[in-house]
Amino acid sequence: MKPTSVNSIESKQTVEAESKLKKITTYNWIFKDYLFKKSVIFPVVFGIVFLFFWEIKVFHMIFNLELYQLPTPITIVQSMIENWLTLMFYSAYTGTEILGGFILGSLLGWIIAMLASLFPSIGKGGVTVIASLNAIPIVALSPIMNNWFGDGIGSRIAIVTISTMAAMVVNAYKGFQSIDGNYLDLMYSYASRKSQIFMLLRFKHSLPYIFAALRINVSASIIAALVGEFFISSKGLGFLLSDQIQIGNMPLAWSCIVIASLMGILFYNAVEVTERLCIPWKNS
Amino acid sequence: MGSLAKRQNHFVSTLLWMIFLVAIWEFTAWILHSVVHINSAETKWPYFHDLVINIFQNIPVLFEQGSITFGKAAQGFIIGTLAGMLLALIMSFSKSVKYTLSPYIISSQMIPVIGLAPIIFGILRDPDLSRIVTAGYITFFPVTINMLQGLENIKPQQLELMRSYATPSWKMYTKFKIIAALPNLFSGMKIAAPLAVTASVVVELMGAPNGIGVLMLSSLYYGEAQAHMFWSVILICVFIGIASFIFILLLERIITSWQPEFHRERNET
Amino acid sequence: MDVKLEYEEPTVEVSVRDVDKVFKGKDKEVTALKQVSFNVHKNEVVSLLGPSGCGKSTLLRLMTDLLQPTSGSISIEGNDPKYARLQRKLGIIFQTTTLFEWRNVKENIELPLEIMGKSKRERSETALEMLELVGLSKFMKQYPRQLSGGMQQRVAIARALSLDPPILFMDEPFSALDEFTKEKLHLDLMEIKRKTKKTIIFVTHSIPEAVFLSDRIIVLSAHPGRIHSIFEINLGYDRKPEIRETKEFFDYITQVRSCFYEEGD
Ligand SMILES: Nc1ncnc2c1ncn2[C@@H]1O[C@H](COP(=O)(O)OP(=O)(O)OP(=O)(O)O)[C@@H](O)[C@H]1O
Ligand SMILES: [Mg+2]
Repeated sequence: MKPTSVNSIESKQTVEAESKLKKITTYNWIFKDYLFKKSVIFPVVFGIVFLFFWEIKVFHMIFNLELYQLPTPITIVQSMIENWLTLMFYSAYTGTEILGGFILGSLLGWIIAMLASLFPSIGKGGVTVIASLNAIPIVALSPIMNNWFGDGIGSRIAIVTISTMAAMVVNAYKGFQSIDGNYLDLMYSYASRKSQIFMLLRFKHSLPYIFAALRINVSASIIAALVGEFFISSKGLGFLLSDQIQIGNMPLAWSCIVIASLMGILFYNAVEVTERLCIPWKNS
Repeated sequence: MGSLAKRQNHFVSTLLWMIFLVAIWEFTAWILHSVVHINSAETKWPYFHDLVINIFQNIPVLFEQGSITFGKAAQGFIIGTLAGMLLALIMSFSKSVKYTLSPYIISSQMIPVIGLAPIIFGILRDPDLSRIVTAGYITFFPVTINMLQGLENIKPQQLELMRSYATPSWKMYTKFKIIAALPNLFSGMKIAAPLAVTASVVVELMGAPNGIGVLMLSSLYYGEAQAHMFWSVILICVFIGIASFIFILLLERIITSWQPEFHRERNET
Repeated sequence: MDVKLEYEEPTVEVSVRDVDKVFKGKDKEVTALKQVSFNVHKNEVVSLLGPSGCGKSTLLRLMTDLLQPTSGSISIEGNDPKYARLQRKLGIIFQTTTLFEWRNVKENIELPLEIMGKSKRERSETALEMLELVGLSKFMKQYPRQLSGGMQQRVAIARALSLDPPILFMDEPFSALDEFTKEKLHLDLMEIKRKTKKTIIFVTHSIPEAVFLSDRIIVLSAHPGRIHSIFEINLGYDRKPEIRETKEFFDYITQVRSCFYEEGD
């Protein structure tokens, strides 16, 4: 009895080894492991079908829309190609606002969170007050900033700064503070200075939280810049968007949305790549 | 120190900060008005107490317009929340739907969905409907994402326990999964609430006949003469945003009162 | 007479005198420790044993200056714990490994030396030596999360040893590990003791663990935490795993266990 059972286990193992070998063939790579994976093929097909239906005006029929209300994808692309120079220029303009405000706001938020965590007994209430900035509708900010900084680029940078700051304060503060007591005890037992505790423990521990805030701030900063430009501006994607809608040039308005979205996706992925570089211990 | 005392401390310190900030505001206003004499100080930085007085003098109109904006945002918010919950449930029920839609739902986090607000107004041309639709779809995305995360992140052991009771799959949802996902649903709603107000105001700026956004535009138009009114409108706007956020917060405390962070007994030393 | 002349009075390394510890809550007071006194001698392994909540961790935290006694006094090598801490003479190992997840194994071991401001070369040399001691030289470039629980705890031990403290304070260091890893680490600890001549104060709630490792077991009873009894374990200095199967070993276990039963009624 015993030898046979051992044999059967052995044969089972060889079968498994063979099946593992099979997995690496090209056939499997294309059809099972990567290209034809449901999670890839389904959304791609869905996207194509969606665009196709849109192009042949299925949605126009269903919702009773005219072409001047909802342009088709091809006309949007055409308009993008025709106006590429304007779009590029405005994207660069809006991009500067976004990036400038994003960096300023995140940095400012980080500094405030750091100060608050150095003096937590006073700081905690301050963090709560700043967290309420999160609940402020951005539109309320833009006329104020226009009053203060005029209708130039500075006004939007200020808006983006304020709307990205709150998320960073809240997250970074959490990252600085949410440290297991044993770690603090350990540092205490080494008789480490407060600055060492900050640099060696709190700062490193807060990195994932900081990147979470940065990821939130990607779309927050773009939204803030666009909404800021809706108001009083003579340049930028947000201005072009609202301006073209006023004169009924929908394809160009849609182009602005498409470009802003592409900017967002690009920006978001850039943040994620940076995160992977800065936090190597999380994903190796 | 007990948790109650801790919470009271936090409350007091928050209150002190607010008082401190108002004092700073008044001081800055005084500097700008009476020391350095900047141009159009009234529009740039009015005294806080003037604004409070103005708000009380204009309570009827501010309340009326504010409640229109808030009402539209709230309607859209409710519809968006329900739609988001429904889609999240469908996605957690059917793998195919999940595969198909999740890349799009996820990328909605990366793109400025509010950019569509003027376009929707352009399509619908109806101010009330536009406000509701815009607030609705802006609510929809964060709610869907967070709810789906909640449904997916349930601990496997808990699921197995429920399975071992031979719970039918629909009951699994009504009795267990939805409840387990509620905290996530609320964090989605907390993100969405101020955005819904923003959405509503943006549509008003594009040309609705009423609402707080219109009040904002008109008072801006009259410049210095209506500076106090303009600032009051902004404050009301901020107030609505924060109030909607706090409302969701309270709702969360009532509905998901079991969450550990709402009653932390042992404190860390 | 001759025997008596050879006898050398053991040096007292840690001395705990009449220590009370009361935690003051908002509405109630918890007396965690009451009238606790004992000495720990040089090169001795002493276990603090007792049921959950009897104040073992509190006692350890008092000795390591993480808490202050309500009354009574504690001295380490003749000075108060604070002095020992400032001299970096405390090696503490917690139940959870408290490794820094963003530092690899070697960098984790270097951490206390870095805080002390030791030069890079010195840090590296000491770390390599400690890695050798706990047998983890091969893994020095790994991040903690890539290691098993037992290996992580060995890194924590190496980190504590890198300061070369005279005393190791260990708070249930092996409780979270499986039985096999635990027994392996017991032997490792034996060897570390033999090689480094450390005094070890070891908190546990496992009777066999306490018997196997200790020269003395201090049994604490709960509510309020006080010393119930003290057992001398004479199983030799360097203990092999075979000891676990001897009659003496079981006798000690039975002896220690009995004092929990007489209390439990
Ligand atoms: N910071 C504190 N505040 C109030 N009470 C405390 C505090 N720390 C410990 N206690 C109380 O002191 C008593 C002893 O706690 P301690 O943690 O020392 O027990 P222990 O023997 O280590 O238990 P375990 O085996 O569970 O680790 C317990 O009743 C505990 O509730
Ligand atoms: Mg303990």
